[in-house]
Amino acid sequence: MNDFWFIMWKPLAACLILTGIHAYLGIHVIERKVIFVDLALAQIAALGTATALLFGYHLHGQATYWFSLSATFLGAVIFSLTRMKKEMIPQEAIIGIVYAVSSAAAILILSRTPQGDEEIRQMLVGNILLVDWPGIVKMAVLYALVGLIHWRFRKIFTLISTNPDEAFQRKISVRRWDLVFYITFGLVVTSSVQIAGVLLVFSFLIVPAAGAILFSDKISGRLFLGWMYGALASTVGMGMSYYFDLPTGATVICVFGALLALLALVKAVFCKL
Amino acid sequence: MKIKLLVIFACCLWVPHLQAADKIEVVASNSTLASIAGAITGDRADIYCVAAPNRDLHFIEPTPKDVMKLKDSDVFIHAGLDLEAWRGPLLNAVGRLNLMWPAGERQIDASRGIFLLEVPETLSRAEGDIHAYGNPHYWTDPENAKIMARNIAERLGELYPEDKEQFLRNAETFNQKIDAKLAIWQKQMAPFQGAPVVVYHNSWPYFIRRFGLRLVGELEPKPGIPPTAKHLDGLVKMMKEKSVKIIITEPYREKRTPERVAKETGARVVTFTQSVGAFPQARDYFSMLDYDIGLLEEALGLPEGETR
Repeated sequence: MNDFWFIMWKPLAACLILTGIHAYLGIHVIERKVIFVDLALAQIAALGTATALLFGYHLHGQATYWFSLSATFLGAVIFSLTRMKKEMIPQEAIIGIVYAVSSAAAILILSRTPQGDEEIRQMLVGNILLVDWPGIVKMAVLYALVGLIHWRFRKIFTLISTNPDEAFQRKISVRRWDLVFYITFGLVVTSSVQIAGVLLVFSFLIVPAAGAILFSDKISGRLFLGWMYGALASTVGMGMSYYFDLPTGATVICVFGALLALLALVKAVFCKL
Repeated sequence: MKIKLLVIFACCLWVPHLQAADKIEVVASNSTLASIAGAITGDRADIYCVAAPNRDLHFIEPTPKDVMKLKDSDVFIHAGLDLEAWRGPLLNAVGRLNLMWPAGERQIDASRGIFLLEVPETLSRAEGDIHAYGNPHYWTDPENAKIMARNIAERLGELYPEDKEQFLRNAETFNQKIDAKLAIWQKQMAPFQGAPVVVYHNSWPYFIRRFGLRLVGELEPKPGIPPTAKHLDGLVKMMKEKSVKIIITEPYREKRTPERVAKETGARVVTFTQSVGAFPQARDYFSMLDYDIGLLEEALGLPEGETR
């Protein structure tokens, strides 16, 4: 048991912090029907990093960080501008296009950099098991700040996500708020991806929120259930990864999925879906 | 009664620990190091290996067991340099300073004292080499395996003075066997001196140099960058001109590109390994090189275009 805590408490702490912000953001993402926006933003950030390498900056240097951050902001601008009052192209299509094009552009750029893609590939596959203290603290501080901004403006964010038509009618500057949303969202996602990898971050974002929607239609209720869900699945996932010696991130994701199937079953049997 | 049970239970927990404490707990970063370390420690050590042998050593995802084994280990033997990019994060997670490279007293860097090829002249990343220290695939040269064996034996001997002599003797035995085998391998390769070869990834310069082959091209335009059409086109022309007969690849790489190039040029694809245990035939360092050299001998020995 001691060994378990020694090895697993850092990844578990990281998972709980990830749950805190992602279960919340996931509720917005599902309401806005922009499910894959985190993958697109993570890919744009990687494109920013690739560009920095093209100019000869060091992979882990300050300059490279700013490149990837600027790229993320660019992505935020794109997603806030492409939201139309009456949409011609669904935003989900734009997200897909951004994802595909930025992945491809990164390949093109990397083929012109001297370094190759070995290290940049690791940007997108972070291993939650090996998270270290400074990483956890940085994450906690950043996510607390983002959480605070969202708490301060919770009414506007909720209104825009759940009922954009009303927001437009009330002459709220939806695009400007969308920009704030996507910038904060991009900040969160790009730093989580480096620690936990794209797959795990996607699961933290979408699965607890989806599970919570089955049982509650209030934001506060969903948020509470999402947090419970994320905390439970993370803990079970950590335990299984440890006892069966399985890759940690992948185990947690499968537990997320299994739990959702279980909850759907419960809902079907007891609540007559 | 309860107490008695508790005592029995506690004993059950303790006994294996006591037995285990007799042995030196060694963790090796990859299977080739584990195999050499095994030859040196004999039954004095339990050896655990982090990277599975059939995987690309650049991309290993450590599991909880890896962290635990390393936390409880007495010695950590690794390849040094920057091949095993996951090693730093893994050691950070374990958090034991005495295992950290380069100063930790319980880590053994097997690459110490090895003459490295392809060391970049300037250390700026912009100049563009992934491997800042030089090419890290050094153990494909048997002469380097001898240095590694000596490194491991000497450093283990410093940590366990009571076993020092035994370790050094075992290293000497290992190295004598290398000398004997190297003579045989070189005889096998003698007819093929200067034979041009193409590799998928630049992971064989030490082998190529030792056995008198000539590296004329790589399928990857740059290490880690997938082959591009134009690059392959040029490569195929060049291979035809120089009548290159061999494309060296590894088990974990995609097979379509080397096979296509082989088809267009009449060359043969040989799947080498530099990790002990990647194939059942490669049980230890010697049988691994037997395997690689056997493949090469067979492929170079056959007339062009003929298959086995």
